[in-house]
Amino acid sequence: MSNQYIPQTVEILGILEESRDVKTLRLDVRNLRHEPGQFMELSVFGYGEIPVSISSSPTLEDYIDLSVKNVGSVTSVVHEAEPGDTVGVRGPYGRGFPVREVGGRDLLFIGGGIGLAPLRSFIDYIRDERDGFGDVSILYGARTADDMVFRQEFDDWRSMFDLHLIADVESEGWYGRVGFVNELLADVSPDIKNTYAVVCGPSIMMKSVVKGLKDMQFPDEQIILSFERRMKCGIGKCGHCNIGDRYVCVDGPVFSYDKVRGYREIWG
Amino acid sequence: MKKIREDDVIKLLNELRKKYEVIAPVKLDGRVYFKTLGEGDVLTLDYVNSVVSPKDFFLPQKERILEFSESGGEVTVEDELSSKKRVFFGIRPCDVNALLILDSVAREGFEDPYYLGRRDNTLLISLECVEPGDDCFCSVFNTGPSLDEGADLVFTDIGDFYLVKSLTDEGERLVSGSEFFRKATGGDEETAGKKRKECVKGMESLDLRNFSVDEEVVKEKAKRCLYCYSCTFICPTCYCFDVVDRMDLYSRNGERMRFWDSCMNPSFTEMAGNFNPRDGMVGRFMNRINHKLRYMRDRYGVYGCVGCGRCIRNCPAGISMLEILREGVRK
Ligand SMILES: Cc1cc2nc3c(=O)[nH]c(=O)nc-3n(C[C@H](O)[C@H](O)[C@H](O)COP(=O)(O)OP(=O)(O)OC[C@H]3O[C@@H](n4cnc5c(N)ncnc54)[C@H](O)[C@@H]3O)c2cc1C
Ligand code: SF4
Ligand code: FES
Repeated sequence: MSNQYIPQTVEILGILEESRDVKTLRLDVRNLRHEPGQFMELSVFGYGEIPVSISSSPTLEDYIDLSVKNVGSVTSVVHEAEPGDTVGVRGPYGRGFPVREVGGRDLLFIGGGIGLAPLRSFIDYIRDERDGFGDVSILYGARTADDMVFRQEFDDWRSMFDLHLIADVESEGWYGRVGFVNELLADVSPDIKNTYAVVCGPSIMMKSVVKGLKDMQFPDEQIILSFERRMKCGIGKCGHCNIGDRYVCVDGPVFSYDKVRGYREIWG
Repeated sequence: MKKIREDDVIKLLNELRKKYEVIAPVKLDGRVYFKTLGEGDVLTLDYVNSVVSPKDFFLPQKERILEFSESGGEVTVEDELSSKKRVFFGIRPCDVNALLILDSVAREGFEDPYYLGRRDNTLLISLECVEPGDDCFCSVFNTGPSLDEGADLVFTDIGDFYLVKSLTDEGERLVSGSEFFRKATGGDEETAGKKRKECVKGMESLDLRNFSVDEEVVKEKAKRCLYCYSCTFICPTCYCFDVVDRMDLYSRNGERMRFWDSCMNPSFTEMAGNFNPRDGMVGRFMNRINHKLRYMRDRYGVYGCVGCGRCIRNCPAGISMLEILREGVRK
């Protein structure tokens, strides 16, 4: 019997500052072949273990990226880590985005805050496998322009995709739009029949985006959501992450809206 | 079928202690607990069931799942898997069924090696019930008072003897390798059958085909909950756990522990940014009931309650699982 609770120890190859409270750890994990949207359990020994989305594309075989926002006890220790340090990882876990199923179709990505992390894995995958997909639009919002993550990729994305940004509040040097990310839906006119919407962000944001998408007549099956729940084991044993009879850690974190619509507590 | 004299049970267990760790019911302060028998422990055969469920011996309230040490930037990780051979004597049919439920969780998808290791290393000798306890309702779920699968041996009280039925090869070997068992008669089996029937008669029967969780009824009960979490800790089927790291800052050695956790605890689902998808006591209580009576059935094909009655007996607010079942059955 293999023991899934045992993390593999890996070296931090590099650390990228994404925003004032988000850092990306580049880890020495090779040929993981994850699905975009899957997550890892990241251990800082002595402090704890947390679920973190893999934010790099599976097309990159020499490392994986985990982008971590500093929100509490484990994540703050993650932020103190330095290149060369050792952390523990296990995974990849969960069901990722239905990459094959949406092949050839247009994609509308909608991300809020650190919710862009799992989307970035998919977006960069499409960048590297461009022929496999149709038109791509990315709508991204964060509290302020300084809170936007993966900014170093925006130029790259703009050259291939349609990128729209919005900040919740004004800040110095930001001349872009101000408002909530669901407002950006008005800026795009997707061919609904041929488009999948892929959404990840805080619960309240996902809820209003889903409402916006429904107003645009998106069928539930074409609304792909990545959920977050408190998790302890990541493998369907600890009981923490349920939505009804589903465990977000093994049945999700990605669900199409039709699969979860009927459950209580989906938005909290 | 075989039988064993009541006086010989303790002799059998003492015999088994030479080869196995033997877990059996003992009385402490007038209450019954399962305990690993040591010198001086006195076995009791006079009990309805233990206060704390036997799950503690398979999914302990607290256990170390790995150890790590950090020296020179190197982290080594070691896991702890127990391989002690054990015999668990006196486990009731409802609690055997509860283990079967825990098995389905532990085996689905990724396996839980700690729990399953203990399961595989433990022989179960179940003691059928011939008299229901207060608040027992295993009859509702068919998880007792008799047992046809899940244990290695099943004992039934027939007076001066226990009738002994073996359900597995290992159980059979144990019986044939011991001098304490003798051949049972047809009359013995008849007595056992009668006693089982009598026992069922003393309990509620409900037709669960007509059951659905009546959320209004549950909400009303939820308002009385005192947040003591007892129900989840003593329940034989509750499996939720928390994971915590501990480290000695000087030696840089540490351990990762898991502890029973309770879905009745508000922080169970709390996330960063003060977001809690399951807010409020009613929401948590509703989840507990739905989890046992709907979600488990839909996911694993079994109800998450075996009718042991522990949560009813120990609830300070007098909330009854049986009432929830009764009131959810359409007339
Ligand atoms: C599938 C999945 C993917 C995730 N991907 C990312 C990611 O790519 N980047 C990122 O920064 N974060 C991600 N998260 C959230 C991240 O796991 C939590 O922020 C982290 O666990 C908080 O740990 P902490 O010890 O720092 O916080 P704590 O000190 O434990 O608590 C701070 C706050 O975080 C809450 N919290 C604790 N554990 C969790 C948890 N497991 N999930 C959510 N909230 C929790 C606490 O209740 C508290 O409100 C993801 C979560 C899930 C479930
Ligand atoms: S009666 Fe209560 S304690 Fe016993 S199995 Fe059912 S829910 Fe758990
Ligand atoms: S995180 Fe443990 S069951 Fe999902």
